[in-house]
Amino acid sequence: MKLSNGILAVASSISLVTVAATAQAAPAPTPVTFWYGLGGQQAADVEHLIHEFNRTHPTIHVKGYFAGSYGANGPEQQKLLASIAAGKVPTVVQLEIHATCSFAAGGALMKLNSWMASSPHDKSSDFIPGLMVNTGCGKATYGVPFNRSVPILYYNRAMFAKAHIAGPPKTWEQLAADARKLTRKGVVGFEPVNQWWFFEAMDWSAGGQILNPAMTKATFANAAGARGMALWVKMVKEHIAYVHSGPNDFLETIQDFLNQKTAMYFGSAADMAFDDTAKFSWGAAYTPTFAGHRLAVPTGGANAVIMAKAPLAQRKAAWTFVQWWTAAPQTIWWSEKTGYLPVLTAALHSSAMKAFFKKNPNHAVPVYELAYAREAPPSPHYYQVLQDIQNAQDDIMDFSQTPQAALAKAATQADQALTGQ
Amino acid sequence: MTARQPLRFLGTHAVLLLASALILAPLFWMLSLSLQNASAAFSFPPHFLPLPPHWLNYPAAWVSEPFGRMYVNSIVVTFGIIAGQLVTCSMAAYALSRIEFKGKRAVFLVVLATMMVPVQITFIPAFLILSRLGWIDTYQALIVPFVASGFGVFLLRQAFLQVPQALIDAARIDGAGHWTVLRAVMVPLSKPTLTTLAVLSFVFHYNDFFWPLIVTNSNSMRTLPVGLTMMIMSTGTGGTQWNQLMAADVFTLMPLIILFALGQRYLTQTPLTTGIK
Repeated sequence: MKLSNGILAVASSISLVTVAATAQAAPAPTPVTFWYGLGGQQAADVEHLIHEFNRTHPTIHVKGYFAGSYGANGPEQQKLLASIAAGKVPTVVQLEIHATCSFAAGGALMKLNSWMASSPHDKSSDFIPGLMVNTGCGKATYGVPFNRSVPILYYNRAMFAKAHIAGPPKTWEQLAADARKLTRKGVVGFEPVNQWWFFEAMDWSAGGQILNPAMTKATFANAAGARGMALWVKMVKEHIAYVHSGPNDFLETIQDFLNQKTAMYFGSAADMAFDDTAKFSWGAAYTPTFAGHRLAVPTGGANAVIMAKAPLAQRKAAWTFVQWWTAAPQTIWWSEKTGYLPVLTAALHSSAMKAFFKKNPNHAVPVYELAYAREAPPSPHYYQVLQDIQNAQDDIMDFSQTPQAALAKAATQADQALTGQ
Repeated sequence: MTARQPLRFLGTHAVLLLASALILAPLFWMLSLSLQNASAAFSFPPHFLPLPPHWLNYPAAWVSEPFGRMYVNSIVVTFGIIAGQLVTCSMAAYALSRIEFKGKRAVFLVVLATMMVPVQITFIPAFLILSRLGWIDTYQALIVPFVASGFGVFLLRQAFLQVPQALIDAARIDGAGHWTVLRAVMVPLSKPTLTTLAVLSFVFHYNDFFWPLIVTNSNSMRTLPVGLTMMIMSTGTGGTQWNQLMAADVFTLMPLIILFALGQRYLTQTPLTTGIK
């Protein structure tokens, strides 16, 4: 009896001391777990910004984790699915834009409308208008533009001058004519990257739609959808264009441009930092459209989303982090470093950004192209639709099927995905 | 006969040389790029010989991610898995090949069935179990789910079936129980198969990217394949330091090549067919 009393006394005095010590020390910083899906130098840039945030915000501690590539249906999303199933989610995640609505539909993401409305600089209206596409479902916003891009036509200025072509083509018809003039021994006029992102741009810029407005039916298997692919096939058969295939097609295309084996290529704004290493003068131009149609481009990249199941204090801290990240100094730094777009209109009007664009006019092109950004259908089944389109594009470019036939087959499969069959 | 033999020799070796060249070409290119400058991967025409060699790519690659720690993790995890598999699989294979019990056939079929289910189906339930155990981001999460293997049980069962019953009977007459038979008769006579299982398992788990990425978060728990992907920038953007990545590939591949050199003689050894005269 006496012994246990003694133990109790010791225990309570220890706890008193502990409580007193805790009360005196500064409160522990709120932890924020941030999953990102970029590697190499880009990961180093992300970590640099995290470090800067932690240095200037002593009450919050953000820890960044590489969670696998953020690409469509990539490993990061599978890792996230597992963490959601186990109820142990990170606080904030860099999420591919087309996945925003899929994850939000399952209740995994926090709706950000009210926090954005009361934010000093992250209101919806503060972002460059085209960037708010694919940040939510309907009126609900779940994502803040993080690293975003648009498709861009890159061209070799020296080759254009040699072929006496004044400037980059504005239409696909003009592009084909220019490619014919630019093609010579060892050089093709044009190289597209045969991926669904570029199909979206061509379908929309021929007056088409990928899905009907209710998002219940595929509507890309028609003349508008087939038009771009048919043109690419025609150009390849005429040997004025070349299309790479396989897992490195994007990189091989950029590589051909840098080695001056193609005079033009259709790529991403995010390639720009890499193209800056070219040993010749090149230009960035808007995505071409079809004559008589208004240009419409998809955006790409990722949003920052906050996980609904994270504790409120951590979500608030994450929101502070996201707002800091998008603020002008950081978004400008990020954009100059990586080629991804700056996200705030205020950043565009800053003297730093203006000076940068004056020195690097190519980097301003994607920003202006955002005026033509269109939202990809925010359907939770959209990845499946894109996969069906990709399969059709592969069948078209290896000449095993005509554009009409391949797209018709893809539309049938997409319809099944959309109706959940 | 004598006239035909040199021709046959030349023919065989021409085919073998061609096959070796095809297999070695990517390895050579990896080695070559690992010693060139950053833009070499994109230069055309390509430079096949790294002259002068850029040795500094190796230390640069080594420090670009915490590869030292990842090396340790990969080795610990892979050997942990192999040790576990050799023990559990040989025990299961012994029971399935040498002990009669009710439902033996059904058990074997269930073991076989586990080989048909892809990881994409099982990873969420497996993750849930590990998460409840509090094992996420630990060595246990990387090792324990793999210490039993349907493929390993199948492979060893087939090998154990080859051991002549007379040898086992002899051991039993000398007073050996099941444990002794397994340890003193089955395992020594099935060394080539055990080595095969160890090597195949090493290659698979040493290369595995998906599972370590899913169950670990911190760099201190990550394995080499995750480290290699951390060196690759997002798709399409370019800018990856391919020369350093190739250097990292070289030092990642080294243990595999050494292991193969050491284990080769077991792999090519003729499987046991007789043991009694």
